[in-house]
Amino acid sequence: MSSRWYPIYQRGNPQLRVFLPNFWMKLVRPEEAQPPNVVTFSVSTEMTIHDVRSYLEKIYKLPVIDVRTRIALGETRRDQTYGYVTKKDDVKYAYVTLPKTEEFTFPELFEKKAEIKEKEEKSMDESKNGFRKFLDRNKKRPGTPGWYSI
Amino acid sequence: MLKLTRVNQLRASYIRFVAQATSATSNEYSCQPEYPPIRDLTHKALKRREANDWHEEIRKVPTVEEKIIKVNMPRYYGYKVVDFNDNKIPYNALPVTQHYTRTVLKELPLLSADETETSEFSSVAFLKTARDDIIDALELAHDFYNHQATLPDVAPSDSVNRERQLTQIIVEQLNRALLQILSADYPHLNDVEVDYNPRHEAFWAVGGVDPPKNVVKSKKGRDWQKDDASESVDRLVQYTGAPYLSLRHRQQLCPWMTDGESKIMDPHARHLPRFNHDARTLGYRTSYQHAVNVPGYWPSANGANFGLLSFQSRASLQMRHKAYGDRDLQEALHALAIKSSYAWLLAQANYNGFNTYNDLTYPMNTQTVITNGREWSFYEYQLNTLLLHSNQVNENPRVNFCRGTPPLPLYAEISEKGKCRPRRLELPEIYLWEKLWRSTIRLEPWRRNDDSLSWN
Amino acid sequence: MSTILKKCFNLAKTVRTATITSLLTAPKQQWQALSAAASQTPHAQMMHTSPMRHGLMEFFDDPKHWSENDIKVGRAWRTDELRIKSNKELHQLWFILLKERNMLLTMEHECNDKMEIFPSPERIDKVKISMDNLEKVVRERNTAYHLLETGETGERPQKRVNNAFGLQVNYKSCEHVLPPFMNLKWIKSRNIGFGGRAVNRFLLKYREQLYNAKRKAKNRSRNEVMMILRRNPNFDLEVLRRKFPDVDIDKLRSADKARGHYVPKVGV
Repeated sequence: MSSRWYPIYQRGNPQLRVFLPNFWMKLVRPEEAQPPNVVTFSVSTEMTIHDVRSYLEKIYKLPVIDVRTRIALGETRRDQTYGYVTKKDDVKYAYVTLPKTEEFTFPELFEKKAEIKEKEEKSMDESKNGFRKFLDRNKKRPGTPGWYSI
Repeated sequence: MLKLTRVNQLRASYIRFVAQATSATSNEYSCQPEYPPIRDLTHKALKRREANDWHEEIRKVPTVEEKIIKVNMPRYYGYKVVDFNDNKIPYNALPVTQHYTRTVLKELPLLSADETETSEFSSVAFLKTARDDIIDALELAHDFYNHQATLPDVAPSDSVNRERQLTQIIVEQLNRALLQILSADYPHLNDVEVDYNPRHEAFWAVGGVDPPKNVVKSKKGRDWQKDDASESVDRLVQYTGAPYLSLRHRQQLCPWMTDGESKIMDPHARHLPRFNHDARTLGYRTSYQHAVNVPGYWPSANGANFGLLSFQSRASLQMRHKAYGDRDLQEALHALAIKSSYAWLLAQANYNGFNTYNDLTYPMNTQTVITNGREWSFYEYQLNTLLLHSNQVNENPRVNFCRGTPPLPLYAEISEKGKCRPRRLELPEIYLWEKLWRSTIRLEPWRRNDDSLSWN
Repeated sequence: MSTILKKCFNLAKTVRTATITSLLTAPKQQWQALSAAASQTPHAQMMHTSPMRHGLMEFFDDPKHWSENDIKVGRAWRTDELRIKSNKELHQLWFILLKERNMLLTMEHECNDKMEIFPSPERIDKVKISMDNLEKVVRERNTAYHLLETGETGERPQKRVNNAFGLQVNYKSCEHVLPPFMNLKWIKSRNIGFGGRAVNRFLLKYREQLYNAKRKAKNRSRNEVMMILRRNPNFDLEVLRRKFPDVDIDKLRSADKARGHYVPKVGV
């Protein structure tokens, strides 16, 4: 039996167990404000509410209270030139409620990025200025090597 | 004679005309200039004034039906409402229920066994007879239920409906038995009207909710509205419920909170929670619906227009996931009691001429019992205000009150032979409202702002 | 060595062995108690591991990588490396890879949302390759086990059948509650077999197309061989035979077209 081929389930049979689950879940930033104990996930479209619950409880050891899911329709867009219609994939969102004592705010991942970029740009500007100065200094004596000066 | 009266009339009218002419000239000038009041012409103030005018118009409309039609007229397909029904109570629903009904909740402690015995009510002699009657009623109800369970057409398949069926029988039997026993000592019980499975619906507006994403986006797109983009908006709520049974009477219950206690300036002082997020984040649904207010009966001029007691179902609560925790059931019961009591009182108030935009002039009371046949929780509710819309949620000094007990078991078990083993038979608790009964002043429900209706 | 590999090697052996085994045996256990027990495992203090993140923060990368432009990682797991692992280790590794993939997808999504560049996107491919390889190894073991025990591979049975257009398709069998002769719905839906004038005409033309394609391919290789022989009369025939096994090279050597534009030396 391959790892992706399960026997048909009939009532009374032992519960089916997935040994190598290949569902994915993404934690996404909520579009609208929601209570701090609610987390939004984007999940594989074929996942059910029970799948989401046991996935988080068993793999991530999270205390899950409640799960609600919806399938968001992918955007359709008409091509400007040729007029054909394209559609993005549908996405399933799972809204997972944790106990009300838990709090989760989506972290700001790129807070420091601006600082670092500024610092890099600054050093780049400095080196540019240095090179420009060097060029200015040697403008009047073309062909002379750089070391030939005070 | 005729001529004389004619002359007198003419003279009188001449004198009136002259007097008016002189007063007009004298009033044309004054030493202090009198300017008309300066009106705030900002967009926000304009909108607020429009809304106030509309609320005033609704208030002035003479009959209740016209008021409801007036509220519903602007929307052909109805309003987008939060579906607040008595079946769906999501996890952690208490704060949102308290915010949406402006209710302060107080949990009453459980009476211990000896306290119950010493209370004056249980010493009444008829308790002995009532006890036997209640046991009989319970046994009868279970017998009937067991009989129905054997019938393939009647027996429901799922546990929720099974509980509903059993509780319906128990509540009806108990109510019948208690009314029979108690009406001898309490003659007003002869006038009580009983409604079986009535329809309770109520519609109201709640302010202080965060605006949805599309509203924020559209406002941010306009320069002059940019600053108000995240200003809170109103959410409309429609409650739908069907209790097992409700009792009503000509006269209403007397309030248990005084006027002074009902007024507070600072809502935080009373632990009034706010739930600013969309109710859908908790699991509520929204739908499009016209505003409907139904108290479960057709009100008539001198009829039994005041609710005393309603028996609510907790059958849907048994489907809750066990991960919700131990405390969850209690909170769900509180939330159910608050919203069903508020909605029923609002529907009653609606037929007395009030609605979500025109506030009450006197408090209204009801009592709610939530039961599954065995466990009984008792709640009292006092409705002081209906104004929750727009910024009234911050400004309105009045709050509503609810107090209640945790679930109390009525009996320990029913044996296989159909014998009931009562456990601390809580008769006084069940008909607690007997004690609270007072005949109050006769209220004129159809007329508002009458002196006789004033608050005190 | 990459972060993934490090995790796989170290964590699988020490910390996560504890967590995952207890996950398998006692799935109902509370998460706090579980992670506390894991952090107290003595091996965890001896081995150097990347810090354990708990709960929802497992969906995010290490905070020190958040503002990086480039994250150094190693290669994917190879099949050979996976073949020497035990079943249990593979099972643990699968969940580590699964979490890693979820983390990477989360980070990618957030980067796209915030219009930032997702650092080292090849990490996702590496995890995917590792997972594919792992599944392949598990499948091999399954097959071997079934062959040993039952004499069959244990794979999903499939066969070639003709569909309604008379074309061959792969039919994958599946389990049914009802036996075939009772399962009318299945009999109707399967509808194997073809016929009718339209289908026959279609098949005629379709086969003609296939025949033409084959014929043209044959001619093309024949011509190619002749052109090669015309330009290079002393070409290595063994190479030609190997490259064009369908072409009769000896016959073509004497063909008219294979002769160059020169007068053949006769009788020398």
